[in-house]
Formats: sequence, structure tokens, C-alpha cells
Amino acid sequence: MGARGWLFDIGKCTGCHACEVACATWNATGAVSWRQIVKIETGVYPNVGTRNLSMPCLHCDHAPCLQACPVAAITKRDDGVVLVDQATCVGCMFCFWACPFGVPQFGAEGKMSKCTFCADRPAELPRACEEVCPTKAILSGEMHELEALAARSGGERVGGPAGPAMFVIR
Amino acid sequence: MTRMAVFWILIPLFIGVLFIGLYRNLLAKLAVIFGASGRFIPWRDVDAAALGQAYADEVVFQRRIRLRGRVPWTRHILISWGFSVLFVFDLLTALLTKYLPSEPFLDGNVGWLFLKFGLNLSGMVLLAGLLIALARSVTTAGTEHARFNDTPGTAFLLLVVVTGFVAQGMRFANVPPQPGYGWALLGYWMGEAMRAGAPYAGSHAFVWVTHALLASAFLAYLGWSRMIHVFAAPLGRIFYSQTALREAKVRPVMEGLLKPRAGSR
Amino acid sequence: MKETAGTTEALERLRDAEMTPGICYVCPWTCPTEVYTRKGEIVYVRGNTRASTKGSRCVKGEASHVLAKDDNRLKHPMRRVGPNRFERITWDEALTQIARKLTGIKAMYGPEAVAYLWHVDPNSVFAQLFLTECYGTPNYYGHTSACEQDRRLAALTVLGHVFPVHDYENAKFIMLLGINMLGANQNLFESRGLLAAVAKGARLVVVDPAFTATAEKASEWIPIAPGTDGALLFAMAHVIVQDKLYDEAFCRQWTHGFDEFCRHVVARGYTPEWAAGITDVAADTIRRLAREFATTRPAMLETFKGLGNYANGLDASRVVYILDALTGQVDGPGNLILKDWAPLQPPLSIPEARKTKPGKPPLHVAMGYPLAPDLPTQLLPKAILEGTPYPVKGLFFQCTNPVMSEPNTALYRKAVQALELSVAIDTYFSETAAECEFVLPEASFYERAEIRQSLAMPPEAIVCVPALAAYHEARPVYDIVRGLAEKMGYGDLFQWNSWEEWGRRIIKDLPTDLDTLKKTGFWSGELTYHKYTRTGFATPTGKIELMSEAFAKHGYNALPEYRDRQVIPDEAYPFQLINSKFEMHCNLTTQNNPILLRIRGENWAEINTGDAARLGIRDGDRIEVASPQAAVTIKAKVRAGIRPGVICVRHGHGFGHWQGIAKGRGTHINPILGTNVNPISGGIGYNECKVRIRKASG
Repeated sequence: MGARGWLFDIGKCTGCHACEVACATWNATGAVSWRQIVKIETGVYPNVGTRNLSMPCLHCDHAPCLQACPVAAITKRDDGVVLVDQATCVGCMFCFWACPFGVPQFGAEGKMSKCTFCADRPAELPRACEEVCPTKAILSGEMHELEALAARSGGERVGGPAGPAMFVIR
Repeated sequence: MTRMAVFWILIPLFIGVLFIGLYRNLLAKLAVIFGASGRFIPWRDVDAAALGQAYADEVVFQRRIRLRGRVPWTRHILISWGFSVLFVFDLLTALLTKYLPSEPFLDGNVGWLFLKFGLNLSGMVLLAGLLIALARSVTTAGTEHARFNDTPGTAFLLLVVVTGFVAQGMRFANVPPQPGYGWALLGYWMGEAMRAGAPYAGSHAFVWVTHALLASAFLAYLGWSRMIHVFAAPLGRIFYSQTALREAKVRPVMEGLLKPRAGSR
Repeated sequence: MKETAGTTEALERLRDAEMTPGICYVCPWTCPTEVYTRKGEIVYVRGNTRASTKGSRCVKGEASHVLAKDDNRLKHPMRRVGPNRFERITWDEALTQIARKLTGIKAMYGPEAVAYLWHVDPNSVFAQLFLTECYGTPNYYGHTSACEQDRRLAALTVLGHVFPVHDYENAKFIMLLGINMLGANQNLFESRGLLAAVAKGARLVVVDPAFTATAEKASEWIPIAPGTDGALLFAMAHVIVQDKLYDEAFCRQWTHGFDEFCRHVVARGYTPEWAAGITDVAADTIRRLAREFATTRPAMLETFKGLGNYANGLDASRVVYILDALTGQVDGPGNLILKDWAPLQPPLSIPEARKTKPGKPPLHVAMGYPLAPDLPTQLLPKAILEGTPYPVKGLFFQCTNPVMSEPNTALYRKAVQALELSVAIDTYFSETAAECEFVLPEASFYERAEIRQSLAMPPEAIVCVPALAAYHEARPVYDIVRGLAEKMGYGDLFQWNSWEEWGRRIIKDLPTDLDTLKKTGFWSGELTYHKYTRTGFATPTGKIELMSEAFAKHGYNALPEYRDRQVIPDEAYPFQLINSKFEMHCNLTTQNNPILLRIRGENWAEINTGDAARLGIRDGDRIEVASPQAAVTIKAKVRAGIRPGVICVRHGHGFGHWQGIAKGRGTHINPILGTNVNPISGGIGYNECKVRIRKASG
């Protein structure tokens, strides 16, 4: 199976946090959020614009978190999903510093946890964040399919040497 | 010749393995981080108060572990402080009694008793922590708490500590007790307990060399296992205290991602 | 988009859980849901994937599973024994005492002296049947006067439909005034459609003094002067009339008062130039928007609460629907949809012989508001304290908290305290419950059953199946009413062995069976357009009334007129206050939710960047917002996306003084509001408020 990733439509996201809470509920993450919601307002009145971003783990091709982990707690599955082994992780936070997007989260107990791409769900099911989004701004799938979809709407892949597995439509 | 050869070849080998491990699993990883971030934080922008607070919270008092529970906190703080202080006393002892011998620190004198006290107290603290850790490993095996255990590391270090105490006990048992030896705590007590089998001639040397080899092997292991967290975790966590650094790292990326398409609002 | 339908079984397997279809009642949209439970605990929730919401769930609903285990919920019936002191009583004691008081009030003052108020209305049809048909009070009301009273009356009198929904997806031009369907009033039935339309190139124009979540996605944001939308709308009508851009054939066939309305707007001089001076929107822009709206097909003009927050909102709302009618954009693809309802029946019926006919008119009529679609709640304290228009001695508050949500907090509190019978039915101990004599714990939507209409475009019935066992002694309203009925001699009419018995009566005309509904959670019919060609419009004339016969009958202005809002900022109070709320909070049930409070723990007042700079206020500062009535301290949010001279307060916080997590969070802003009631609709003008701002000291 090909590598999997995300297609995120910035134009549809309203920054409502539903995805964050669905993820936290499905994955029983407790007080930790695996999706970071960012709302950025730009411009000067009345020429104002706001854009919203809901950032999961981007399961990068060359995941810097994996490269930076001193205890090799982070691995990448064949389908591209990057996972952290809770037994091996020592909570040193090197992965956070390596990740360009600040994805790794550290709860009160100190170990790293992050979006697992709902690793327990089979590929044909939507992810938890994806299914509850009121505007269906999130899409998961195989990268080549998402690339075609993104191209149709003038979207592009998120750049950087890490090779994030996410396309965005602005 | 062969015994000392084994000693003087293996120990540098193990230390070498430690340093290679530290290079590969620590320094190279730090390089990935700085390569990815492409920035350092200028000293004048350091939030010293946050740094100090993080050092106190994470390294000294280990509050994060305390939040998880009293038993995890006890075992970890006993082991980490026991080991750190023991290591320092070990170095001091080696320097002051062997390599730069100083009269007050030679056998039976006040300095020597002070070193023995420090070695034994920290060693006992370490031993207590390791025993609690091993017990916890057994009782939480298979549960969700098991992910906080490090059974191989615990067992390995316990072996090192036990051989060390046995070697010391044999040494104490080999000589008649002197006034003040009581300051050697467990060392003295074990010596008294083992007096019946004295003298320990070859066996003492054997246990002592074994202890030295195991200790160096443990250091080598440290560079290649989860134990490397003793360096990585304080570094990473203290940096995490710098909120400005964290925001500066992430914010530009988010803003870049959210930049509108050319031509739109 | 990945197909979500058919994934239920997979999720059940993955979590070793069982899916129960439900309905979410955190806010009045009542979206259909899926609740996954394992061994009596909720492990996951999402929207109903096959119903019209297609799996979507807003953040409030998604976080609501916390309710099921919240220790701060009401667990037992309670009776007040002193200020802030309540004793636990049994259900039998509670129902006996309430029944006794109801009987006493009926004997002394007549049954009309008792009223039932709801906000979210699960199962309240049982209370309606019992109180209005058995007991004999006509006073069964909701919360609309605090919500969208003006819009509702406008829709009823112009289009003859209480709640048009929206076929956004097929529209090519959408103009929204005072409505925020992607933000504060997040609507899961319609959000996807609105954005799909925008993605397809539809023009979305958002008219609002604040740059709302909906404005974020719009092609154009019109930062109109607050409370002046009516002028903009009248001017648009003027352009359409002058340029003859109306759909004359449609108007001649389907509207009443077409000529009168056209003459009226011209005679009044509601020109774009006139409107420009009032609205601060350029005359050319008004002209352009009018032409664009009138010539783009399909098109839609809509409002919700924003306009009704001012004294002039009723007539402004009427013009919204009149404009849709003038251009023939009614009930077609891409238009307002006058939805058909699913053929649902009441859960039980009261035989004629057992009915009690009220002897007095309903309160709203007696108060002089014959057209009010719901009780003018601001006039209720007068009925309680002064007996005007007639005495009100007993009140039920189901999931409604007027002591917090109404203006005149102190007066409302005094009124509730003065009642001879006050009963709060709720999941949490609200500020209103704290003033009541009886507090009855209501089962949450995870522990009760209901079958009701949904707000999707086609006729749709949705089902809530209890997912969990009872929470302590909390009961659904149908069991509470049954208990009361039994104490008052009507028990035989409120008998069932399981909810399915009345469930089957509700759906007897539905072409499906209850077992299927209990699995799928919904039934959906066909969406048909232009239904009026078969049935006409539900107005006195059977047509769309641009000139309202209902208004005329009661001596009101048959044709809408423009009036200024009543409270105008001045030198002492230079800012206009407007109200909004967060999409992650609604009513009381979200306030004690640790997940939602982590995301948005307290409310704030939005202030324009320039205004803030002038006043030395930075983002996050605590500021004092003072009206002639009172002052409150609240966090400031400085942003470019709000009109200068306007302060937008996010309301709905400062509750939960008796709850563990909600306590002390946020600011209750109602004390600064004055009383403003629309004389025809009875709606509350929450935005009729001028304030001054300064940085809070200390």
C-alpha cells in the first residue's frame, strides 16, 4: 500500500476544534491534544482576513522526530504512519525540537504522544478528526490520490526537507 | 598479566563504546535538532527564571514523576540522586586515594571515612531505589504502568551495585575493624556479616574486577539504551522551559502554511 | 470525502462497543448522533453518519460525553429550605408537593397562573400535553424572545413558515445579515453546503459589524454600522423596485401587497444615498449588491438573531424575506427552503372529556403581544410581582436559566423568588434553579429517549435511544410529567411500560418501524421544491405577504418601516455593544466541561485595534465595560476584524457558581444590559446598549 497522508482545505476550516476533541475522544488522550488549532487574523480594518489551521502529525517521509530520538522510540510503518513506542520513550523532548511543526505533545506524565493517524482504524475508514469536521476540511488517504485531488483545487504539498505527508488547499 | 590486561583493555573499550554511543545517540541527534531549527537562542533572550524553575522541577525535585505517583517518584529520585552522588564520590575516591593520594584520605583517616560515608550512603540510596524499581517492574508487568519501567536497565545497574557492595564487604571483612569504620554504614555492616568467611583473597579481587567491568559495561550500555535519558531528558526539558523559543520555532511555520494564495485576500 | 456511512460496525468492533443512535441537545439544532458505549461507558461519539449531518459533530457535542459522568450534575430531587440551602427529597415527596401546589394555584387563581418555560425542549411535549390540556394553562413557552423572536415573526407573517432552512449548496449568491452559521450558531446541517457553494464560485456576502467565522469565508464583508441593516435592506428593495429587477410574474401570482410595497419604499425615499448615511455602506455598494442579488439565480438573503437584537429588528427582518420574495427566490434550489415536516404524531392524546379549557388568553396575548411567536419574557416579572396582565404564581423552568440569560438579572431573581411554585428541571444546578423551590434532576440526552423533527432540508425524523442507564435519580421529562399526572388524577393517560410504546404512537404515520429507527437513528423523506405551488403559503391570504394582514389586523404597520435603533452611543458612552458567543459554548451544559474550558475558558470583549491603541488597551488586558446600568470587568481581545466604535462581547459565561469546574470562570455580562422589548414581537433587544471602556485597575 502506498504512503498515506492528509489533504487539508484551509478555506473550509473554521477553527472550531471539533477535530481536536474527536481525536482526543477516539484515542483517549486525556488532557493532551493531538491536533493543534491555529487561527491567524491578518490585515488592517476593514481589509481583514482570517485563516485557520488544524495541525495533526504530518507523518513525514523523513521524519525528523524519528531521526532525533536518542532511544529509537519512533518508527515509521510501511504505510507511512509514524508512531512512538510508549515503553521506549524517555520523555527527553528531542523529537519536539526536531519537528518543524511542534507536533510532539507531552502530557503530565512526560512521555511523548501524538497523532497516530488513528493507526487502529483500517485504511478505508475515515480518521476521527475527518469524520466529525462540520465542513469536511480534512481528508485522509493515499498520497497519490490526495495529490490528484489537491491539484484540482490548486493545492500543494507542505514543503520542507522532512517531506510532510500533507497537502493544503489555501 | 592477563587479569590486568583484561581490566585495562576492556574498561577503556567500554568507555569507548559509551562515547561512541553518546556521539551517535546524543550529539548527532542534537545536530538533527539544530539542523532542523537552524537557530540558537541568544543568551540575552534566555528566560533565566524559567530555566532555573525547570532545572529545579525536572532535575532536582523531579515533580513530573511525583505527579504520576509516590512510588515512581521515590524509586526514580533515589536512583538518580543515588547514582549521581555515588558517581561523584567514586571519582573523588579514585582521585584522592589512588591517583593523587592525599594523607587525610588514606585508609582509616577522617577523609577516608568521609569518602566511605558518602559512597555508602549514596550507594544505599541507589540500592534502595533499584530494589523498589525491580519490585515495581514485577508487580506492574503486563499493565499500562509497565511502560514507565526499565527492567533491563534496572537489573543491570542492580548487578553493578550489588557486586560493588559485596567487593567492599569482602575488603572490610579482610581487615580488623577500626574505630570510625561504622561511618561506612552498609560497607561496615556487610564486612561484619561476612567476617566468618574471611580472608577473601582471590575472591575479593575477582569480585572487585567484576564490579569494575560491570560498571564500565553499564556505562557503555548507557550510551546505547534508554538510560541515555540521564543526559537527553534534562537537556530537552530545560529547553522546553523557554516558551519564547518554542513559539518562535512553531509560529513562523504555521503562519507560512496559512499564507493566502497569491492574489487572494 | 471518505464514506462514513457503513463504518458503524467497524467502529463497534474496534472499540468492542455498541452504537446507539442519539440526539445532541447541547444547542437547539438537535443534531442526530452516534454514541458508542462499552460496559456502560461512552468510548466515542460522532454525528449520525447516514443522516443529513453525515457524521459531523461540533466541538460542543463532541465534548459532551463528559456529561455522563459529571459529578456536578443534579442527582436527586431537592427542595429549598433557605437561601442557598437545599435538602434532598424523594421523587414521591417532590411530585406530591408540586401537585398539591398546582392544585392550590388552580383553585385560587386559575390554571393560567402556571407557566412552563423551556429552552432546549427534549420531551417537553409531554409537559405541554399535561399542562395545557389536562391542567388547563395556555402558557407553554420557549426561549425565543431571548433568541430569534423578530426573525421568527417576520418569517411567519411574510412567508407563513416558522423556520426556513437553507439550500446553500445550490445558491450562486448568498447574502447573510446578522447570522453566523459557521461560528456561534454552527449548523451541522448546512455548513458543508455553504462552503461547497463558495468552493463552486458562489458569491457570499456577510453583513456584520464583526468579522465573524462566516465572514472569514465570504467573498465580501460589509462592516455595517450596528443596528442599521434595515436601512441597507430597504435601500436594496428601492433599487430592485426602481430598476424593475423583481420577478414580476412570481410577485403577481404569489405575493400579496406587491404594488403597495413597491410604492411604499419609493414614497419613503429609502434610497441608497439615504441608507449610506445611516449604514456607513457606500451607496454604490448598496446598489451593486441589490443588483447582484436580484439578477443572480439562485440567490438567498437571510438573517437570524443579529437584526432582532435591536428595537428595529422586526421590520428589518421582514424586509429580508420580502426581498427573497420580490426576486422569486423562495423554496427553490439554492433558496430558503420552507421545509416540510415529517408526519409525526404526539406521543399520546388526551380525550376531550378529560381536557380543561383555559379560561384566560395566553400570557403573550394578555400582555398585548398577540403576534409574539413566543412569550415576551421580559414582561414576566411584572406578571409575577404585580399580577399584570394576570397573576402568574407558578413556573416550570426546563433547561432554561432566565436569571442569567435575561437582562434585569436582579428583577428576574426577585420575581422567581416571589413565585408560590417554582420548579427547575435541569441537568445542572443553574442560577435559576438556585432561586426555585423545587429542583428536579433531568436525565441527560445520553439517558433518555425522544423522537422529533430534525432541521434538515427534507422532512426528517430523528431518534434518541437511551445509551446509558439512569444517572442517579435523574429522570427524563416524560417520567417526571407522568409522575405529576399520576398525583393529579391523570395517571391513566400517561401510562406506558416502555418508551417504545409512545414511540410507536409518534411514528405511526411514518413509513418505517421503530426497530429500524432504533438502529439507524433517523428517517428521511424526499426534498421537494416549490411546495407552495401545491399548498400555497400558510398566511391569511395564502400568499407571501409583503403587506401583512396579520399586522394590520392587530393595528400594526402592515408595511415594514425603517426606524433607528433606540440606544445611540454618545460622549459619555461612546461604544455600541453587540453580542455574540463562542462556537464551543452554549447554555449551561458546556460550562462545567473541562475539555471545552481548556479550549475556551473565559469569554472576552472584542475591540478594534485602533480603538484599543487609543485607550492603551492590549490584547488580554482586563477591561471595565460600563453602561448606564452597571459595569463589568472582562478580558479584552484586540482585533482588526471589528468595526471601530463597536465592542463585541461573547456572552454565555460567568455561570456555574455551584459547580466544580465552571465556578469563577468568565464574566456574566447581563448586568450592563438595559431593558428593550420590541413592542410587537416581544423580542429582547440585547444590543440596545451603549458602553464606555477603560483598562481595569488592579
